[in-house]
Amino acid sequence: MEEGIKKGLEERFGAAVSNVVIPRPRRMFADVPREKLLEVLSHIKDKMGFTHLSTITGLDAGDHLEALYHTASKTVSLSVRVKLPTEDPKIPSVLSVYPGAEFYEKELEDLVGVVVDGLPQGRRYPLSEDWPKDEHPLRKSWVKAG
Amino acid sequence: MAQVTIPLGPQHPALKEPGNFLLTLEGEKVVGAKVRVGYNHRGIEKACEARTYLQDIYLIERICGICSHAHTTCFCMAVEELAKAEVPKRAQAIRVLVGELERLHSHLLWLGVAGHEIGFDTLFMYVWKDREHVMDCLELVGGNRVNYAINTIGGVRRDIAPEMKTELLKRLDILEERTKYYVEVGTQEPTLLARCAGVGMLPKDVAIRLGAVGPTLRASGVDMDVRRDDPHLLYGELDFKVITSDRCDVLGRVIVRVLEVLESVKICREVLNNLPEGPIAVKVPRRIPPGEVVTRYEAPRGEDIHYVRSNGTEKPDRVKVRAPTLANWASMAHMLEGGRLADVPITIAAIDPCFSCTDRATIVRDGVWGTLDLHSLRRRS
Repeated sequence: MEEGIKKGLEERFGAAVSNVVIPRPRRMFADVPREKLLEVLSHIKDKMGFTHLSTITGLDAGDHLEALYHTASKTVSLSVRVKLPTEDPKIPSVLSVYPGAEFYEKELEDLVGVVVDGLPQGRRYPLSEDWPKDEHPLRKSWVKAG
Repeated sequence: MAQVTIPLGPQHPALKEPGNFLLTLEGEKVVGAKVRVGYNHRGIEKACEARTYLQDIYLIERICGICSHAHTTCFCMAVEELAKAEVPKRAQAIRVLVGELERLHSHLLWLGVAGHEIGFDTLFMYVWKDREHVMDCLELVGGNRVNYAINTIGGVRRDIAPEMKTELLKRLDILEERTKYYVEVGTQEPTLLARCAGVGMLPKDVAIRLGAVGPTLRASGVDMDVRRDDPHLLYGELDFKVITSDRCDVLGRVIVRVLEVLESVKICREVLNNLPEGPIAVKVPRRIPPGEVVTRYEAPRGEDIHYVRSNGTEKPDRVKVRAPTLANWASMAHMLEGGRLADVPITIAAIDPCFSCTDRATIVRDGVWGTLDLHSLRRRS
């Protein structure tokens, strides 16, 4: 099952999808560049049964930022990873593919400081409206929490 | 008709939890709804990075006052997978037992709240009285009513003694009998049917598209349950049914939850009667090898997902938690729109949004009622 998904991804996207790993049954990780993100997500959702986006994890990996899109099919959880340069952390919104992702994308913006392109304006989540716009608590440089 | 926009909340819109719903009304009809949440953000994920894996369990236990065990199990499974620790079968069985007892208490709590929201307070009092049986079970197993602290990295902290088993089985029988009565109420009682049928509609395709989870999703006819689809602990070996309903309304969510209570009773009984012998925990080194893991768990409200990344030290590099309620907010606007203002509280309550209930009054032994502060509680412990 997982090997078939891996093969399917590599055949369809070639080198654009890299580091496809299967750490254990029902778990997969794959790296994609940000310009391919929407294409890959649309494909796995429409053609491979990954209809559910569990959530998005944003993290500060030191020299770069990462966003992981944890998608799920009936039996497999596939995390699609996009690496972003810290000085240009822009990523397209995936709302056209997974319309339920709005809170996850807002959280990615607030806590990690990723700029989600195409996210509708509105109230922020989860930080309050008066929280400084340039302070992102999950950046490693943000050390106020003990 | 002119449209009026009113805010509902953030102070206790339906449950004792802060959330804000901006409702656009035409008369009594809701024509637009916007959900605003985030009032309860406590920065737990950031705080986890500054503490050891072991300390994090107690922090994560406090993410939720109702499904505390769901979060610690999800987290411990992640750390154990990173450490390549083999958790003993007996520990896994105890985790399942506490997890299902937690589902029992959560669903019964919800059924009572739902009764209250529709003005059926007799149901609320009946259910909450019966729920005390499962609270006593949890107290017996874990020593606490809400944060049972049963999990540790590598297994569980307390064993099930034979006399506990007898008491638990006795209480499960009572709960099963009472729940059969609630199944009757949920499917036949005219007040409940009149207030819940056709309310808060969420069609199957919309529920899938907006990423709903748990009983909310299953009541829209989607057959998805992490316990069966992504088996963890002993769930792969246990016999239970995944309950669904094609009703797509609040009544469907009532039916799914009461029937799930019966399934959970069945699971608890099976686990207790076939408790594997052996140790309840293995030792896991404090330093966790580098790596990353995704774990999923079917909490009472639906899929709970944790992502843990280790950098090889005794503190995690990143802990990400997505509790099930966040996944269900996206569907809320759809459920409210087209409904009536008077149905808004029960529609909000029907996804069973999570709130904390960790305060607890204590009876002082000499018969005088009172509440203990932390200092005096420590002195007595």
